Amino acid sequence: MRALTLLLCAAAAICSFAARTVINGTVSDIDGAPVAKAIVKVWQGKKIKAFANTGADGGFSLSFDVDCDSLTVTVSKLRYADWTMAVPNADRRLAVTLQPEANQLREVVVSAPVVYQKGDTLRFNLAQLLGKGDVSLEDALKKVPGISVSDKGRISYMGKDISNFYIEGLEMLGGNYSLATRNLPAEHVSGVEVLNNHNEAKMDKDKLSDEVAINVRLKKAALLRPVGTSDATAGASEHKFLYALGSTGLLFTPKMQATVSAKIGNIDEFAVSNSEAIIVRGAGRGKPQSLAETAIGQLSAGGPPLNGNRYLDIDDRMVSVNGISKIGAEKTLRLNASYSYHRQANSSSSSREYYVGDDNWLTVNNETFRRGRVHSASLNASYALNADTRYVSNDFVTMADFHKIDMPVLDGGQAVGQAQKYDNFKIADEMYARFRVGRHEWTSTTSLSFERTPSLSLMIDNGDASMAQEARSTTFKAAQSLGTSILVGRSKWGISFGCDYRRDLVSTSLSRAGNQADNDVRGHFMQLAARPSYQLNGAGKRVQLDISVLVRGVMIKGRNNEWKGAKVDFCRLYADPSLTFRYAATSVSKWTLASSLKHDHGDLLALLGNDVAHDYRDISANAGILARNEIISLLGKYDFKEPINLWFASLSADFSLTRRNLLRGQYVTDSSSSSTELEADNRRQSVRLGGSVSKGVQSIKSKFTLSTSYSWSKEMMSQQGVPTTYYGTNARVDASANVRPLSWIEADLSAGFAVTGSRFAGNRNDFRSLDARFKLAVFPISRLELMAKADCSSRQLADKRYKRLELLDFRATYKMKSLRIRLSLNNLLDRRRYAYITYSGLDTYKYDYALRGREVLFSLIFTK
Amino acid sequence: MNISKVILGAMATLSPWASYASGSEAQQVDLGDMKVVGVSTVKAEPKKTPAHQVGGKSEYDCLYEYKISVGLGETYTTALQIGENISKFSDYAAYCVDSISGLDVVDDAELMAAQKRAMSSVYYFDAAVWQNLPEGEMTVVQDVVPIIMGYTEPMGQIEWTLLEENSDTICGYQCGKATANYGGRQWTAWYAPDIPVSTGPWKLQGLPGLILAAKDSEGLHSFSAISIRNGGTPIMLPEKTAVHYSTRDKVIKRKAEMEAKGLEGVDPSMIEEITVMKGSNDGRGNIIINGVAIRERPNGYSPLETE
Repeated sequence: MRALTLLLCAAAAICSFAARTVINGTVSDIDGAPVAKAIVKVWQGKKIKAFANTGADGGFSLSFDVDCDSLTVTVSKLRYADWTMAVPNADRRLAVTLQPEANQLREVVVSAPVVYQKGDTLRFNLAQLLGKGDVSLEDALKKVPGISVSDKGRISYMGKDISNFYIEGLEMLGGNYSLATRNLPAEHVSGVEVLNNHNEAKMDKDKLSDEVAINVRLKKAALLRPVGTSDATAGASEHKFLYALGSTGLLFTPKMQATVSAKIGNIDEFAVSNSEAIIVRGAGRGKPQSLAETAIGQLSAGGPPLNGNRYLDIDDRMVSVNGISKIGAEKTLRLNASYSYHRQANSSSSSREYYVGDDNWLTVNNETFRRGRVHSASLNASYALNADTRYVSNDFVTMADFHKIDMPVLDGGQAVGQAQKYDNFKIADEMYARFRVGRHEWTSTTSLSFERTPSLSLMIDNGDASMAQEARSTTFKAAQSLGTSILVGRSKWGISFGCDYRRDLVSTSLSRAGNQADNDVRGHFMQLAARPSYQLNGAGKRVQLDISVLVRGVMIKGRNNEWKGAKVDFCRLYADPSLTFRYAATSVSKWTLASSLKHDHGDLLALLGNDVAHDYRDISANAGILARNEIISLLGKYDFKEPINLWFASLSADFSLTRRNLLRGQYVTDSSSSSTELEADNRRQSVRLGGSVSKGVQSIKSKFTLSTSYSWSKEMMSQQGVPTTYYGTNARVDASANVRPLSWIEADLSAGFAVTGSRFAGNRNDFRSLDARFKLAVFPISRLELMAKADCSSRQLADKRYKRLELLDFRATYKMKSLRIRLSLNNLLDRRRYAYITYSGLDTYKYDYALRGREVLFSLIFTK
Repeated sequence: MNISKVILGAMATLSPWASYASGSEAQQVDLGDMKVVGVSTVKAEPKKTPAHQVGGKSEYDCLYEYKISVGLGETYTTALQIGENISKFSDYAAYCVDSISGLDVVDDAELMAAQKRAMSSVYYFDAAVWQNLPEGEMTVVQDVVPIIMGYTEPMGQIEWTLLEENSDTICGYQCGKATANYGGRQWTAWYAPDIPVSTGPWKLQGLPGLILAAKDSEGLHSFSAISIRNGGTPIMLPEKTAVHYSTRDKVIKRKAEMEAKGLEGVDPSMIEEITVMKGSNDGRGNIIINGVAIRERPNGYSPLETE
């Protein structure tokens, strides 16, 4: 048996050996010279079964085992034509002669990758992401995986707003970057860099950070010559002439950037968004908002979740001049000046349901007609020295706002006139300096600001219940802090000391028939603080631990001269610890854990003990007790980024607990609602879970995004003097896709589904809403774009009762080099009403807004 | 005196305060009993590279992205020059230096700028590989601070297994797929049969077409072609006198030791010159010992071959 087995094995081996085919030979050129390093391949169909390189003598030998009758042999070599021969599957010797060929390798191929990662920087090659209809930088940014651009032009990356927007490394426009993104032609942009772990100061470049910034790289052709967009639009709606004229020029040179923009029109909102205050640090941050405005509030009719051009009657004008210049290798000087005028009008009806206890509800119905206008002017000058070992900046800003609002209301058939007028002024300066000498780092911040509202008037014409509310305020703030830190290995120990001072003057005067209620509050606030801190930076920026404790003594003294005996004499010591841990587990994943305890307190407005009117229904009087809050926050976040495969994902969870000494609430009657405050300890708890994932699929030039969130909160408020606990929940899923399967078609689809609920005193409300937006663009010829856009929503107004709305737009654009000719048809279905529902505490607000009707627009847009 | 103290002394001169205080382009540093020819503080002025021999001009140049998936990720840009007989693989910055050096009229300022970039880049592929130099072998030259080491090894040692599965298109070329073990790692390579050269990035070669992409089984190292273009650039041969030749095993071992120990692993007796470049490397400055730059390794050293 064993002999037989051995015999069979031997036979099999012999057969196997016999089955191997050997092909050898030589390769030479037409002169007979041997060709070395030619590649000889044996193919079975489309599969390579064997290959070899020729030696210096042009010889080769191939031995292979193939179960087929015929094979193909190819010989190839750069600069020679391919040689091909079909041969039977048998031993063979070949003599191959190659013919020279000048260009054997086909036209050179250059393929830049879509995304390029270098350390913390992701560089996206914009050319590979652009669609045919993309003209502006903003259009292009929407195609970048991980990046979202809101309707107002705000850019976020992985759900987080960007901290800085640079063009060629210079930040000219601060937070007003939409001026560039909406007017800079995408064709001039070579790439977009997402700067993760971004630190504005170069001296912090090795520190892990949560900030994300964007840097736009321009093509050389865009440098040293003006670029920009000019447009002119004319059109008509049912009974109104519509127009828009605008021009924005941008100039970029290696040492200077400048932009000038002027616009006027009554179609879209642009004045407010394009003239928002440039991001200024410290005391100059934000629009002026005085204590008088905070105390009285602004007459408002709310707003639906729609773009302003759907429901607002608009009239906007804006001029903006911006420039930044490198005045040294590390120094920059930036100037921004803007003036804007914004007028808007709209009408709406609302039904407010107030819970008044024992399952009883009070419903207030009204119709509102609001017309508001605001003139705004701002001037900002910033100097920055951003070097490896020192960072010095000075921000100066001055701003002024002039508001006038008319908001008549029909309440139960009765007309009530409301008119408000006020002006705000602000001037502020902050100087910030940091130096590093050896292992020591020194920090100094000095800031001053002055804000004033010389007059605010609110006139309410309501027959016998007419009122006149006046207010004025002045605030002066000064702050100085000094800090130092020392680097010991990977640890950084630091301590800073600060002193803040604030002087507030606010007075109000409410005149009613036979009744006068005045407040004259004066006081000051002082804080002395020390913050010891510890920071650990792991190797390669993989781990960072931040621990700090803010110890501060707060003193608030103030009195109300018009409210006898009302005064605040508050003095307290706080300790606010915080801990943040960041860990880059791998090159694609990062964890963040943070926790903090914070204390805050109210301000001198608590002393407004005499009545203050906010609108025809809402009158408040504070208790004279300073609010004190203690907030505990916990946050966990996971980010996953695999940019090469265009995968982005994040998960987050946060919890906060707020302990408060004042129980806020309201007391509602048929004719009025009053804000109330009770001195009673209470707490608010909230949990939020969120996640998002974004994937780019380059083969079909598409981007898909899915995000979801769930939030839950529990708190207590006083309704009709009765403390009531209520629970709020919100669950939301959003999905969006941008798909370009063929070069002549592009589709955008986004949809969001939300369930919002509230529960209190045996009541339970759950309302669902579904919003979907669909945009389809086709290019029947390369110069013509036909685009249809649909906004659909379905909102639950009551049990089993839904309000649906479909808005349809159409646009045709014909491109002639730098000129685009556009015909737009807005609200083709001529929808006139939009209804939705919101919650605030125990109250339910149902709104119904009037929409702008059908519109026809014709535009000429010149982009160069 | 410990070498790290010397380096720390040299690094101290990177401080702007130190340079302001010295006010000179070059200064003598007290190095105790160590023999050092000169220590200079310069503002981004690397010395000129000694003249290399030229091994012909490339017919095609292929640029690759070389990625190391460690820490937050490292990306290098590298270049393969494909000549008629030999090919050279090096960092893109070194390739630029070679390209400028090979011009008929060399612009010194441009050359210096390219050299500065090569010296100061953090993500710099600090080895160069010549395939088929000498005939049938590869020559590898590797920075091993404070010297440049080199070795040769035979070509054709990689035994590729061609896979029959359909593969991807890279840079517009339909590619075949193959696997092989080399240097302690299992590699998967994508090659373009339409480009009839048996070369590829680093030491990877021997397939019936240009290797356009390759990655190891751990996903730690990967090469990916991003551009293929007409050549014409000079293929500079290794500078004979500057390279200390040894065996492959010894060079790999010495490199690993040097990277593990860092500056502590540098033998002080081998230092002939230390150059400190200010204002380079994103402001971090650079230290060059005997003309070999010390590379920062933000994520540690990840060798391409482990055995």
